[in-house]
Amino acid sequence: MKLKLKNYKGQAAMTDSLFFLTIIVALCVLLFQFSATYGERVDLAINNLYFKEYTNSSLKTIYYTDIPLDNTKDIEDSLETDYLITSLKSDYLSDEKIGYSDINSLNKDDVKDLSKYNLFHTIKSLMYALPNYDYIYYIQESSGQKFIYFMLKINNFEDNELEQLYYLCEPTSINPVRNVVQRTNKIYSSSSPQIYQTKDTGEVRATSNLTIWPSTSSINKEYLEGRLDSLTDNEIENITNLKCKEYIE
Amino acid sequence: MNQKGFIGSIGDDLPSLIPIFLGLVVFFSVFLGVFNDYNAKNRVYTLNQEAVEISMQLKSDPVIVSYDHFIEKCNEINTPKNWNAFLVDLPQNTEDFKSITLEDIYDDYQNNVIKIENPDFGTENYFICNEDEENLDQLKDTSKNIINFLYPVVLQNQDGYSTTARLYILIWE
Repeated sequence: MKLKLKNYKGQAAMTDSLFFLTIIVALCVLLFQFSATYGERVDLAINNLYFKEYTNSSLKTIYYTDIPLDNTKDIEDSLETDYLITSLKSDYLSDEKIGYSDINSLNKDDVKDLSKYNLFHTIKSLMYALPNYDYIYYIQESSGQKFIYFMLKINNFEDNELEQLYYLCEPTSINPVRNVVQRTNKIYSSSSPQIYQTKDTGEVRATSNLTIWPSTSSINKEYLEGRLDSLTDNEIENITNLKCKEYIE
Repeated sequence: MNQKGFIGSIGDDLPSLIPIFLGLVVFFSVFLGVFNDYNAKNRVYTLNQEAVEISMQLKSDPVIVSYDHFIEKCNEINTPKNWNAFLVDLPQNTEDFKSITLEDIYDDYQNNVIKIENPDFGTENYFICNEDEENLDQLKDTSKNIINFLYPVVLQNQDGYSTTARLYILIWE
């Protein structure tokens, strides 16, 4: 028996070393796994922080920007200028809406749509620096479902060409708005409270919100291309409720 | 006869030393690679964190009311990293929008960064935190990992009205 063991001595050592190699390979796999996933949450947190800050800054910028009070002139040439937020509040005071036209339309030549026109273009210019992101901007009364302003921008990729589509909408409630963006997991949003005055009811509290998401999300393709077959009746109803009209200048 | 193939106590273990040696080489190579990757990622996260802190300080007021106000904000920033920040026009008419590259800054920031005239000295002041050449030259080094943050801000210009601007924050090691 002793002699047999002596004969197999080298093979036992070989088996031990192969076990050792297996353990090393398992450890290496674990290390690779750690390396690949390390920082995913930090990355996500940094992205969240950055885009949240971007939307926050945009909201601040929207209201502190000056606009010309003469719709035929640029701000450099206009004799009178005012903060955009002041202009929006003055506009709202008279008829409890921003602009004279319907919420989902805009007449750039009408002086009564001056604040609405400037709001649209201020948001458009602020978000132009992030061309690969789509967004929704709206102002909604806090007490009810009524939207005071609603705009939507979507990038449309067709035949290797990028087209930026702008919509003005009149949703009946926040639900269809949520449905539009619910499919994406990367969504960044900021809100700010506002107070508008009216002649009849006094103060109206409202919330303005800017929500952005990467254009690469497939959420809006169906809406854009009109492939409604894949949507349920409820979803079609929700799209109808957005009452969007494309705005082209 | 019993010693057939026996080539000594080390000689007998020689074949088993090969997988052990291979295992050690593989393990330490992987460990070194992962450690380097871990360090590189940590450096990027630290830079991102610093960039966020700088941006918070620079944007702490909703409106940048003057050149002195902007430079005062720049001077308040205390970071061991290399960094720079500057303001670029953000026109309301998107057809006038111009994208900015690093080259536009280190080669020709005078024509890309927002400037105001200084009536006291007849000179021009540029809305850039670090104007020194040494800092700008570092932007040319393509091997550096430069983190770039962009935010919209409001700038009150010399005529008294407020316009939108782009605040760029660059940070590198």
